[in-house]
Amino acid sequence: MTPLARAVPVRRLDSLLATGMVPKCDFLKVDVEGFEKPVFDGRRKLLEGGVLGVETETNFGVSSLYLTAL
Amino acid sequence: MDLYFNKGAKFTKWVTAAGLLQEPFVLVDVGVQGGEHRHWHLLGDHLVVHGFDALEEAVTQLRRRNALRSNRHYHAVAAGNVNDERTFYVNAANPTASSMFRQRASRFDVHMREEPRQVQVRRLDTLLMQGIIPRADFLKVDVERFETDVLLGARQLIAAGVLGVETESNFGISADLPNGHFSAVSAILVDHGLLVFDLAFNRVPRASFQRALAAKGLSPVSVHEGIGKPSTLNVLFCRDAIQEIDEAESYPAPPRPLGLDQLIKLIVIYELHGLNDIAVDTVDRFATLLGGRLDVSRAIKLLADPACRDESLDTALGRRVRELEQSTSWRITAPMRALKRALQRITRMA
Repeated sequence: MTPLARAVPVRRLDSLLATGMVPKCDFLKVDVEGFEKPVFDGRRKLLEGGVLGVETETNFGVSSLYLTAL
Repeated sequence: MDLYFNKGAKFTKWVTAAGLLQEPFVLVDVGVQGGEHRHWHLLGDHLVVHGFDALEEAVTQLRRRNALRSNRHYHAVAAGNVNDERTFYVNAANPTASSMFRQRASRFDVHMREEPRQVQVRRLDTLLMQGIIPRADFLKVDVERFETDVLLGARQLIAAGVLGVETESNFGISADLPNGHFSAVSAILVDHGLLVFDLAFNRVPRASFQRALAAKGLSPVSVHEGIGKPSTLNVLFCRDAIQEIDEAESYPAPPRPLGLDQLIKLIVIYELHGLNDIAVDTVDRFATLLGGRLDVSRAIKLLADPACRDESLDTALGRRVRELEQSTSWRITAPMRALKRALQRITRMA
C-alpha cells in the first residue's frame, strides 16, 4: 500500500467549542486510527463541560508517542 | 474468570520430555491458595514453585499435599511493598475473597463475614535479596486489590528477568489509585517491557437489576449472561521478544536482552496460554539462536496447531448449556419437552 499524503486542517475540539462551532456535548466517540490521544489532549474543556460517556478505539500497544503519559 | 489454558501444548510437552531447558522454570505465585494453576504442571520436574499466601491454613494444606516434592515451596507470608505486620481480613465464608482491605458494602449482593488477623508482610525484592526466593520466570498475583503493592515491592525481581505476569485487576478507581487499578498495574509492568497479551473478564449485574427482575416474576440472570460492566479481569502480561528489537524506541527503557533458556521459556508461556501464533513467530524470528538447542522445524510443526484455542469456545458453550440445563425453568419444562418428543415419534410412526 502506498499512502497518499494530503494536508488537512486540524483543530482542537476545545477551540471549536470556544468558537461556538460545536456545542457542549453529552457523548464523544473517537475512532481515528491511533490518533486518539492527540484528540483527547485537545478536548479537556469539552470533557469538563459535562460529557457523560466516551467511546474510543484503543489498544494495549506501547509507542514512543505515549512514553510521557506513563 | 480464568485465562485460557491450551491443554494440548505439544511444544511444552516436548521441551519437558526432551529436557531442552537447562535451567528450571521458576514460578512465583502470590495468592497461591488452592495451589498453582495446573497448566504449569506440564513443565514436570523443570517447575520450581514459590507460593505465597497470608492464609496460614491454606499454606499448611499445600505443604502437606506437596510434602514429597522438593521443588515446591509455600510461604505463609503476604507479599507487599513493606516488611512489616498488617491486618488481613479473612472471609470465612469465602476464603478466596480474603483481603488486605476491609470489605465494603456491595451493590452486588455479596455478603461478607470477615475476621481481622495480623499477618507478616514481605517485599518480594527483600526475599530475593535474602536468597529466600530465586530469580523468577513468571509471577502470578491474585490478592484481592492488593496487587499494586505486591508489584511495587517486586520491581527488582521483575527487572531480574520475569518473562510473564498474570494478575487480577479491575477498571475501578480508588483514593489510592485515582487513575484506576488496571492503569496502575499496567504502568508498573510496561516499565519492565511487559505488555498485555491476553485477558479474561466477567460481568456482574447489579443487585437492584436482579430485584427488578424478581419484581416482574422473572428469574435472576446469571453471571454468564453478559449483563453488567466488566468486573474482575485476569490479565496476562508478557515480554515481546520481536517488538523489543523492531520497535525498541517504543519502550520507556530497553528491557534486558533474553538468553536462550529465557526465549524457550517465553515460547512455553505463549503456548500454555494458547498464543501459538506469537510462539511460531518467535521461533521463526529467533531460529538461528534456538537452533543451537532444538530442532526449529519440529518446534514450528508442534506449535502450528489450529486447535490451540478451540477449547475456549467449547468451554463457553458447555458452560452455557450446563447452566441452562440446571436452571429452574429448564427443569420445570422438561416433562413437556419429553411429551413433545414422544408425540413427534408417534406422528412419524403413523
